Amino acid sequence: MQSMQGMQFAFGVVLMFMVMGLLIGIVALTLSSFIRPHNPTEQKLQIYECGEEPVGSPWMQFNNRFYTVALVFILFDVEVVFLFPWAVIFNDFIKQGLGAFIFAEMAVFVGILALGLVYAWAKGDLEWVRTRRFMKPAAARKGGVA
Amino acid sequence: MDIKTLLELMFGLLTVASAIWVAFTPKLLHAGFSLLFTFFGVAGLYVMLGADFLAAVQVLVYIGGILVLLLFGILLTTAMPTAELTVGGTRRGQGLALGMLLLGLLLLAVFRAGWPLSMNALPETTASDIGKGFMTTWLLPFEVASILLLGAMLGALHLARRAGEDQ
Repeated sequence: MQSMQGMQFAFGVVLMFMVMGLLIGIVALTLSSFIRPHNPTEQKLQIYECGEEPVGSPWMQFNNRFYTVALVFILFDVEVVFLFPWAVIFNDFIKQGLGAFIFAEMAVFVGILALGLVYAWAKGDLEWVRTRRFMKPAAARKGGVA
Repeated sequence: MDIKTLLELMFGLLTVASAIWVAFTPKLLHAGFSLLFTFFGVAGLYVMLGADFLAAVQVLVYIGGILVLLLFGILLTTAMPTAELTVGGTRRGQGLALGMLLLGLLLLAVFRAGWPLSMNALPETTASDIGKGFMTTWLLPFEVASILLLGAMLGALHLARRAGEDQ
């Protein structure tokens, strides 16, 4: 059990940063609440939006493209998970003269996943505003939006 | 009580409490954000158990990926963020039965596992051993995993596309 103490200590440093970050926010706001004047008016309580008067509900539907981008992101997120242990041992393998070998292994892995990105790109899933270009080339020039 | 036990208790409490909040809050968005603390608590427990790589993956994939996708799913659906869910009531019995069934299965798995102890010394960090395993013994499963991920991506993109948007 002795051997993993160093690793846990490293994570403990991260935890301390999180705790300190949280505490600074809480302490600063609590302290300032003691000394600041408390005089809310209707004007002051209004939602500030760059000087514009807010109209309607803030719960509006966002562009569905966010979801597609998030989907692609998760796949490459998982790819990074696989890259991480590979990067840790890369130097060891170079010392053994196997650098090209494990580089090729990872190149195949990344290459296969890159096909997915090519697919998404070619199909127009990454286009923010889907034009008819991806259905009929002629319609796009007329400014039609799918 | 030493600091380790205290931290373990804290992470366990955080996980269970936020999971209960996920199940019982009628606000879908609150449940989504509460899930963040559940995932974080589980990551903390992984660290306490010496699984540093798993903890990093938990934060990277579950908090950074799955949860973001989940929240996007809620926010992108009209009227969903403010929708009130009916918790309890008629479905309580069914939920309890299903939960008990799952708990039973988990307990069965825990007691049947056997838990063999490794005679090797515990490694300081696990990432390098996992990397060596990927590049040598488990090379084929590693490369096949990329094909699995590719398939998942193509399928998800296909489903995310609205009908008629296809070429």
